[in-house]
Amino acid sequence: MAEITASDIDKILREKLASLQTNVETREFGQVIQIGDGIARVNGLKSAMAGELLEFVAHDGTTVYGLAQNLEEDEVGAVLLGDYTLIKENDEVHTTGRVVEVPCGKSLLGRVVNPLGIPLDGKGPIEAEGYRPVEFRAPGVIERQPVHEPVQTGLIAIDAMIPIGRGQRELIIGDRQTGKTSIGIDTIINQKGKGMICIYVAIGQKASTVATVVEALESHGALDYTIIVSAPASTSAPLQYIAPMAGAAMGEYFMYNGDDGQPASATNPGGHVLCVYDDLSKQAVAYRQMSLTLRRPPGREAYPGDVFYLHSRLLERAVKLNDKNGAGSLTALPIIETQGGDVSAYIPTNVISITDGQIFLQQDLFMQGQRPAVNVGISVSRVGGSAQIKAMKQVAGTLRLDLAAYRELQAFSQFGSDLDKATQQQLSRGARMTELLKQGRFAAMDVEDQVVAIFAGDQGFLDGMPVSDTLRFRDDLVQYMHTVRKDLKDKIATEKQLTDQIKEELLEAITTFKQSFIIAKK
Amino acid sequence: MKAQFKKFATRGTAACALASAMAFAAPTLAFAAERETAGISAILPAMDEFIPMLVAFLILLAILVKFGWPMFNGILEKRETTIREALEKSEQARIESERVLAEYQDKLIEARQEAATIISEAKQQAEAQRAATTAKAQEEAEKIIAKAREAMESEKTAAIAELQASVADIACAAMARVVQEDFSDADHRRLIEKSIEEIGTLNA
Amino acid sequence: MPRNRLLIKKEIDAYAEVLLEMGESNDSVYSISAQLEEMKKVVNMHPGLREVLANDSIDENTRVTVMHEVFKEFDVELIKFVIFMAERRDIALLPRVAERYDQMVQDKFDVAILDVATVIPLDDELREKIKNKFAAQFGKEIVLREHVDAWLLGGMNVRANGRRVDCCTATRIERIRAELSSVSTGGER
Repeated sequence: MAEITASDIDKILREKLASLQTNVETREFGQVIQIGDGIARVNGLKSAMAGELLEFVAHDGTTVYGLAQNLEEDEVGAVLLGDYTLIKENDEVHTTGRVVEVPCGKSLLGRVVNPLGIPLDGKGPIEAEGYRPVEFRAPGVIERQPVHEPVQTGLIAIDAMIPIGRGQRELIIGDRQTGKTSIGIDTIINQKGKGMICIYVAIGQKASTVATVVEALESHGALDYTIIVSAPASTSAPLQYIAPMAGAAMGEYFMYNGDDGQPASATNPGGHVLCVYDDLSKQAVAYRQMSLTLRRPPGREAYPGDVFYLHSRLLERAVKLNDKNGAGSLTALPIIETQGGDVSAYIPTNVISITDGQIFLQQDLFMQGQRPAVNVGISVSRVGGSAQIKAMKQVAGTLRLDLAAYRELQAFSQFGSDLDKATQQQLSRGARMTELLKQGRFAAMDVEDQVVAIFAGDQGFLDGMPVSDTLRFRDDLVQYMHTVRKDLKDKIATEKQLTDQIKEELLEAITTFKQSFIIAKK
Repeated sequence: MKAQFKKFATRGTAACALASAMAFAAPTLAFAAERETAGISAILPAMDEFIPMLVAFLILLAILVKFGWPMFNGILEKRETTIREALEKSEQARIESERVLAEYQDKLIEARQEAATIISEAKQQAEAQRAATTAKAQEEAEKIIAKAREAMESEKTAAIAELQASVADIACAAMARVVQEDFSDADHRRLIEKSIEEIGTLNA
Repeated sequence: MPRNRLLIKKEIDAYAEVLLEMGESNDSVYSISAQLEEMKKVVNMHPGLREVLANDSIDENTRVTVMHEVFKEFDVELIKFVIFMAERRDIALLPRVAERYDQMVQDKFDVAILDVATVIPLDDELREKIKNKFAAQFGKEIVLREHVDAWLLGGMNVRANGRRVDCCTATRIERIRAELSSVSTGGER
């Protein structure tokens, strides 16, 4: 099947020769004055634009691309995007007349690429449908509409209390090893069959971590609708710096174009995209390195003055377009790593203030076995509430307050043991509801299942049972609803709310299930 | 009731009087017989004993009628009600036990049915899971095949690209070598002249 | 040592003016321009040379000798000038001084300096052709700085004012090679 014949190659070469153009063109050129740390100072290039792509030609003819950054009177400071060890002083530099662009299109799905769109997975070259600039101005007020459709993460704790909407920017923040990436990955996996294109941007991570992520996505069949932009720790700082922007550009292609590749419009709906930037603190560090070697003045924590603008213009590209523009959306899930839970550091405060809410992960919760280790007390979603389905709103309405009250009581109850009946009741309910929010990795739940589970907890079905049985009860109940009472589950899915009749049927179904659960346990 | 009882008592007294009258009448006959046959007098009471005994008997009778009868009557009545009550109770117990039995039987049937539903539900679950697992395995197998095909295809493309590149490289290197070694000064002059013609504007 | 860029600019102007005066007095304006161009390249390429030039502990004669060794047929005055610049730790300004000098020469004598690189040395006929071609474009008299470069394989390269027309055979072959070995088909930039 996979035969390679001489005629194949012959044909290709002949075609190329026929279309060959050897016209002479006038080009602007400059010379490298100084090079080091991935930064080149180039003289000449009087017409270079800020952010323009420059071509550095090494002695042996290989071309390395660079990015014009500092435009000075008679020289240009540029960062090199490729292997800068090839470039020496006096090498020639050309302007290209274009800004940095990345290839876009469906052929990128399922691929691992670097921030310039060059494949890293050995699956052959990518035939791009088009190219988009990595720096792109975010749509204005007129082109947008409020967030109103949900992005289901499949995690009860988030979907119930910190809902995310399509077009939202929700920060995932926490110390190292608190499961930040897991939330992003679980969310991507849960988008299967929901018509979302996912883009996972790995910035400054270990290549082995990226490989694990790819493996996880592949084994759960999530790679078919995912693009992975990988700028591991070994890549140069400029590449790490443009990585999230490149990811956003690849996502924008799907948002601004319909399924047929034509620009989205009222009749040609644009796609829905989810971008996970993992993580922006490392991008900020890369940008800091770049700026310092370019001798830009350092500011707080030695970050350059425009690091806020760097993140705000990136996250501003997350958008829900209005119907006239195809109603596409780009949801951003930036990740920020804190040091010792300190959210008052420069980058965390910046990004918290930019985003529409944050999911706060805490080390001690993680250690207590509360996974995902979301601290629902201080996590918020400022706009996602309007994106929740009604059924979820109905059951989760009081959950947040209940849990807050539970935590308060819990703190008190550690002092004394004599508690009145009501308090004890509240404590035991709280313990079971907290338990209900626990979820393993790759164990996403449909929103209907979540509704049923929370409903069961809310109606006190868990109260009589030991806390340790909660998870099994929940999982078995979900299983039961999937097999025996599929009609009811489908009803919730279509109605999207809990009518009195559904509530009644649900109560009856859960009662029946609980009986068999208890019998089965005995 | 009392009136009835009095009536009853009066009637009793009348009966007694009649009896004693008969008894008074009988001794005259007895005396006559004693006189006739000494043997019979042996069993006939003597009149002097008979009168006090009759009086005592009458008194006793009166006392008994007055006090003993009601007492006796009461005891009888009491016994009668006790027996009736006992009968009623046993009847009730019987009905109750029957009801309980029926109930138990009902529950048994219900439990059997429930067990049957649970089993069928479990079966249903298992079936659904089995189907899902099979479908998943099928899907995975197909995916693996598709992936292998894809990999093969991409490998082929990569190989072609590589070959193509190396062919191009070799051709161009040969071309460069020919130009470098075989071109005379006159050829170069010609090339330069051609270049001068081709060159566009430099002063933008 | 960060300095005010206007001051640096003035310094460059001063250096260039000195050079121009030197060239005018020796009647070697254009040869200095060509030599500066060459020197700029060599000094840029060799950080070691820069260090030697700027090293005070080596006495001046030795340094001049070294420079003579490196730039055999170059103007002695020019070599001394470069060493003077190096001593003042201004060697990094050499490219800008060269550029400024060319600019001054072009302004002062109303000419356009063209760098022409070819495989074989130019003869008068070719020179005339080139000058005629570009004189029309620039509207000025053309001064040629000729370079012989075997790497070009054939044809010629012409540069002026930071722009270049690349007509050499090497570039053409390279372009053909790149085109033939590229794989990507679809997509437009």
